[in-house]
Amino acid sequence: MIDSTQKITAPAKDQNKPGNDAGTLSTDSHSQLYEFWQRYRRHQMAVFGTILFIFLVLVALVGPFIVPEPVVNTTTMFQLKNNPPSLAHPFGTNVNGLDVLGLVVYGARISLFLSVLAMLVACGVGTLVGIVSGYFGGWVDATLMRVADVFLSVPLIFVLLLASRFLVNPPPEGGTGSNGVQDASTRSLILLPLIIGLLTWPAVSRLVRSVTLSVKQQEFVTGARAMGAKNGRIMFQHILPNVINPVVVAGTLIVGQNIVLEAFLSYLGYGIQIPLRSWGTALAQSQNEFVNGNWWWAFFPGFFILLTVLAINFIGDGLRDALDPRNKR
Amino acid sequence: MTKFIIRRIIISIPVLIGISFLVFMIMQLAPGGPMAAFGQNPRMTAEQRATIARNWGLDKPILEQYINWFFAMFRGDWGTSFTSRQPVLQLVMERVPATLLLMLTAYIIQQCIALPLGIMSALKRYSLTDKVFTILTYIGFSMPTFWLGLILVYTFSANFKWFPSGQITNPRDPAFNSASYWPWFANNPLNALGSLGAHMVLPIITLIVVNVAADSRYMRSSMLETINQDYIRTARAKGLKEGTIVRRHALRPALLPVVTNIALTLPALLGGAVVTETIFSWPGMGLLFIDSISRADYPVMIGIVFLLSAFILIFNIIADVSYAIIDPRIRY
Repeated sequence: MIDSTQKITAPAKDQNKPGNDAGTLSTDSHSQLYEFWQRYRRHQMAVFGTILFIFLVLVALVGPFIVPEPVVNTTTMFQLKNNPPSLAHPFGTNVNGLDVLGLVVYGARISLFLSVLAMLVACGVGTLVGIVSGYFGGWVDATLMRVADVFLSVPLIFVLLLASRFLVNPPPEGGTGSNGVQDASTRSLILLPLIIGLLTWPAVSRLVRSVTLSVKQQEFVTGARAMGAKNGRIMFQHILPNVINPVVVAGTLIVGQNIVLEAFLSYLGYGIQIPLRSWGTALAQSQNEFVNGNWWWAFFPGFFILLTVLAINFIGDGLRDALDPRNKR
Repeated sequence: MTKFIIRRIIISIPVLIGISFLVFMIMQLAPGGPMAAFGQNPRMTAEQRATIARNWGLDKPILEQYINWFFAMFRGDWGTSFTSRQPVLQLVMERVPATLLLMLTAYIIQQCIALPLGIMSALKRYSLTDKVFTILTYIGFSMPTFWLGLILVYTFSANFKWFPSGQITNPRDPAFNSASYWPWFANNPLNALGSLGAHMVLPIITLIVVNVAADSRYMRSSMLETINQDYIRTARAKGLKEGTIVRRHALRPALLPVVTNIALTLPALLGGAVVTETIFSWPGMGLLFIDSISRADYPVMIGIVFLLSAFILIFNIIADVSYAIIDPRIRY
């Protein structure tokens, strides 16, 4: 059965790529990837965004091997306080004498990691809920979508602050031990992506549900059911591959949104806890030094946030055009 | 129509209950629970904490606490602030005017900029203007709001000293919305308005940049979709002037999705409130929220989230109803 369909589709694909072996699954997916790349690279801004994003990921991965970790000590406190950008410190130093370039480089790792993790949580939960909701319909759908409505009607930043204040950074009960600081920073790294993801999944689930609703009407689903496939198999073997593309596009844009959310939380002190550093913690308190003329401390970390989000939005748009050619905007 | 509106309101009630449950549970999940606020006070003994818990009914089962709390909210009893000992409802309502003033002004300015910009960009598709516009909207859309606020404060307040860096009134003037504010406002209206306006410039720019980018982009794609329709080609074939076509035939259908979007972007604007009010110390609900968070003043936090959620639900209903009113194709 599977062989015969491949023999039907294979020759048509071969016209695009002469000289490959006919009919194996790997060349088929290969040419799909090739076509995707052909469409993607036509989107100039997406290519620019990709290059920018690769650069930022390199900053996060390689940077820590080149730039020393920012640590407060007496030298930094007194000699390097609020130094303007120079050759030794291209982005200047902050009020504690910490190198702002160091803050940016070490912040990049956590900011990117956390935002991607939160996106994966949101996409995982959202896809699962969306497929189940769209596939079963009826009261399952009604219940799940009302729950999604609850999350969509809530003022996101407020609830996020509420949750992170009470779950990540709770007021100490009695006294904290000596490892209280370390605990808080580890907890923030684990809980923050979970909280952000669990508050942002409904947008994904709405999307997946609508795709599922149209896909489940198609003949190959009826065919699978006629062959005796169980619900779970139909949902995850047959419908899931069809919802992946829109989820990838939505997920990309969610990463950008998460970076800004995390930065704001950490800027206020309710996100990532020091000694871990993100771009948000790098910005915290920076406005206090405006009166001393220190603009570089606030400027550079935020500028990197802007660059990252910009790159991600470019990529997201390129993916949308390349993965879903019907959806021309 | 009335039936449709009533049905729409009834559907929202379980959502509101769900929201209240979500917020309530976050508090309960917190290490230390609602009593965590007193954990910070080293002078308080375990017995005193137990007494407080008993007095406030915090020793009862969680579900019972939730039901009691839920009905109290509907009676208008939103509890008492942990720190200022004032009723929460009063505390929150005092902050509503400042937030509404900022939001509504920003909202009007935002639409006045975004809609014409989007329409123009759509009509001159692929021109240089359109390309510049597209890149600018991308940058605006990717802007971290609070960072933009910081940069504006540094540039126009700390550096050039053109605008105040925060607050809503000058330090020596009466506090906004206090008992002495309105008489003072009535006595020297020009002075007061000028001061208010100067204080609003930077927060408003901060608030609207992201939204202008998003809304004008939305307007652009909606307009593009409309002017490629067959009936617009017919109007062109009839020999109508381009301006007439846009005004008489394209604008209304193109505005349809935008109207819904306008009501649906309100949550984003409220989210912007907490960011902007924090950066500029604007004495609205957002700042009250941030202050209560740092003091673990949870009745105030819940009150604000609850009020804002109700706001958002109401605006979602308005979006649905207005959509039904202006689009004759919709049957309700």
